[in-house]
Amino acid sequence: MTLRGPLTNVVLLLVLAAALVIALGLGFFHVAPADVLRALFGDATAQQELVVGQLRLPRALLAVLVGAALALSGTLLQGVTGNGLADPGIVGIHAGAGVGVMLLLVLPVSVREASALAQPVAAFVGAGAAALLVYGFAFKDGGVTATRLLLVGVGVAAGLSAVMLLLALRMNDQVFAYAVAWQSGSVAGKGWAPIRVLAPLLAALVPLALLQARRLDVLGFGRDVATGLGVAVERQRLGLLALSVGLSASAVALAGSISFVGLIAPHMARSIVGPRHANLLPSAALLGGLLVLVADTAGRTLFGTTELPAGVMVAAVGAPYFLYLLGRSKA
Amino acid sequence: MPRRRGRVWAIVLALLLLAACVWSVTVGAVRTPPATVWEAVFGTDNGSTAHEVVRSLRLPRAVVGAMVGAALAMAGALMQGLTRNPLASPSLMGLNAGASLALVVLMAVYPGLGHTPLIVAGFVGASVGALLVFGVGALSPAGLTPVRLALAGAAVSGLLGAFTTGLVLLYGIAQGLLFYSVGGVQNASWRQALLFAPWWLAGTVLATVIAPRLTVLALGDDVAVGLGQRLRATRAIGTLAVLALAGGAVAVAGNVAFVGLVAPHLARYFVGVDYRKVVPIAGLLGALLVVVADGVGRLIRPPFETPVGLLTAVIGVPFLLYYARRVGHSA
Repeated sequence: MTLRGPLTNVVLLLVLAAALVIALGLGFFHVAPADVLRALFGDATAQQELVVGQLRLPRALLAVLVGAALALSGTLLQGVTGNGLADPGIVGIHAGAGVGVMLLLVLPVSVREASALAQPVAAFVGAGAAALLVYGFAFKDGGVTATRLLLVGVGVAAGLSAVMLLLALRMNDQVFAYAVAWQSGSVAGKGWAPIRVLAPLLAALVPLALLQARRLDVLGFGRDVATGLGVAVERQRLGLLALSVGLSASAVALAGSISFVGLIAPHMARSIVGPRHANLLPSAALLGGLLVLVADTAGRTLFGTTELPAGVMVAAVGAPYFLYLLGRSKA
Repeated sequence: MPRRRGRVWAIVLALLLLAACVWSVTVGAVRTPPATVWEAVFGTDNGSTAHEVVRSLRLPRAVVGAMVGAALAMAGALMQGLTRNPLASPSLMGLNAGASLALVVLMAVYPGLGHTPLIVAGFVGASVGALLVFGVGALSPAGLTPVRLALAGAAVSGLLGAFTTGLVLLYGIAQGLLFYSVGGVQNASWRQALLFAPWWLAGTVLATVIAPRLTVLALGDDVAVGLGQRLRATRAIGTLAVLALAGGAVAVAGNVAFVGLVAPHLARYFVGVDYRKVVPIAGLLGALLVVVADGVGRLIRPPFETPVGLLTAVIGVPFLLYYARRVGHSA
């Protein structure tokens, strides 16, 4: 019984690897799975190596990393708030990143394009500021409650959306179209640069998240029980929230606002491996990666010459699943 | 005494609304003194530009603004009463998302259409969005609970929003949608007012009919049934009224945020919990809010206009945050 969770996660990892190989082969220039493997390990035609190794591999890896980060962030958030409907997008993080990026976009071109890092940094700062704002408003009587956090999050997100509209009115068509595309969340055409940023970040944050599994389990018993069991609830919450914000802010900074992953990946994981966070966190991460990878691959292959961004595809699948969850829940 | 208080507020607000409308007609890129306004409205047409501006631009604008504000506020009051959810309002229930999607579909399929078909499409879309939310909420075994309805609204909005973004990106019509999603009455005309009028009247009549039942419904489903109310009929009539009012308003003026949320709360603050008073007072407050916001929007940065939707957000967001802090207390 104790082995079931880890085994499931190994299976999920294998599924993700298989999906990655298949996804790398799909597209306008079709490559068979066997040839994909050959291309990855340096034994294929130059053309196959270019398409698979240089064009599709960074994109697919970014999709997996972004999905994993968002899923982990959502799992932490749901664990901390004890509310299965919490999502990094709902508490204003995505809107904050959006404001950051749009503020950058209304600046003169010379500033805007000074560095390739300007945009991710702006998004990250925006997301962090929004999270602080939400926490600050929700803080009362020495702590935050889950309901207050969610409600304040919805309010802050609404306010930030208004700010985004205000900024959008100052943009010309081209810049605005770019902003919409960014907002919709895409992993296309970004090369290896974002992976070089995101991979080390995740390498630092993911073990940190996994180490918190026990504490999350205890927090799940509710504030009083957790306090009785010797957990410094508010400090734990703050730390976990910061971790959750860090994960989703990095993901959104690099790939734009991809919603619903942080919401549904934890639910899918819970129905497979149960509620214990030691198993839940890794499987949510794997499922999140799988989800964004599949969504991105579908978005770039199903619509002929045009592409739909991963964010749109995820929402098209994620929202109905969420509604299904909602229909089943008794709340 | 309480009965008198309702009437006093109604008279005060009606006078304020009238004053606001007169003020709104005088301000803008060209200032028109009240005397000229009087001549233009009640005197003979002397063919001057000032008369033309008042008669065919500013007057319909004030009228449509008042109608839109009243409709949104009454719809919000009905929604809050029907769902017993203090955060229920048109924009949270999928109406705006549905209208945007319908508009984008129309813009994508038949570019360059006139105003009237777009309004009709917006209305149909808003209805579809609202029915989806209500349907999902009602399908589940536990029924149409407040939490379920709010979350179903968020998810349906997310889903429809994703389709909208997808179409916007595929067809490159981002800017066309922008002004609509900001919301405002800058394109108001007498034709719009006439188009909206039947829906507005029907919705207002239904809202007045249903208002006493909402007061009873606030005591709980069981009490309402015990007092001889047919819940299904109440909900059906209430939903129809919401669709006519909010659907029409969204179709005419786009996403004018927060009026439907704030006005009913203010009304309850003034006249208590009796929906027979809350509905009309909220309507007057909503109308006042939109007319004033529209006038202020013309003054901020002439000759440019600051959309109404942004100004109402300036009022609505702090309100929402204040409210969230208060509510979170009990949870």
